[in-house]
Amino acid sequence: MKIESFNRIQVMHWEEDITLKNIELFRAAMLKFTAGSVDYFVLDLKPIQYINSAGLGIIAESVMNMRKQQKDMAISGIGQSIEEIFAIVKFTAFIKLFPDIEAAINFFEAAQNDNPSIC
Amino acid sequence: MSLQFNCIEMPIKTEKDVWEAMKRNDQLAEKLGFPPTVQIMLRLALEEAAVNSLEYGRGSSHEPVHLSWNVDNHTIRISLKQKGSRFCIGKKEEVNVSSCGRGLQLILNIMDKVWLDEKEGYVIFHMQKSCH
Repeated sequence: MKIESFNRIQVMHWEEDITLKNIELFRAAMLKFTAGSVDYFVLDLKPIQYINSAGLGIIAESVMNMRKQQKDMAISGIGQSIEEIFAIVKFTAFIKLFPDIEAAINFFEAAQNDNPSIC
Repeated sequence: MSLQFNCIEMPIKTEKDVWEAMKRNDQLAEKLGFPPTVQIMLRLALEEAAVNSLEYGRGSSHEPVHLSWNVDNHTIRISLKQKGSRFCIGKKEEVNVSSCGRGLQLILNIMDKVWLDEKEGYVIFHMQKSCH
């Protein structure tokens, strides 16, 4: 796991497939970063090919919790199998998904400019 | 590679067993010639079904879940047998924003066919996929 910050945007690079073996590590990392002071959070999944339903649940819960706090979260670096899994569970209907980190950061930078009060 | 009809079984008592089963499932799916992305999806269906079975049986039975693979040249059938009774396996179309309830949805979309058998106090969850 690697963390980067860009202004008020924090990016977490998750680098291992999310399975029953590491699900609690993923849960702890997501809780730490989405409950923090950051306004915009990007979860980058570029190297991974696999996520189980518990991981999907953690992502969905994190997105909804951030929105309750007037914050937002996106996911970047979505490969073929992750895209297929996200399509099955209809993540495209309520989560912002981007092909790469740059697109996600550009989106949130524009959101900051449109809504400077959140900064 | 050509495979003869074959059945492999293993008991599932813990999450470590589920992990071993996922690895075995990968090997079978590769031998059957499923494309890499489909192999990943089959692994996911197996993990979801096995974890669901462990959770379903927790507290009600000390018997393990009996996992089996039936394989022929083009098809893999994964079955999980445990104490219990029939449950609903209907597909849901609504968007789920909650923290749980996606396992069966994944399985139903990944596999070609999913069905239940009930026999002598046991329920058997079958899921099947063919390599087209």
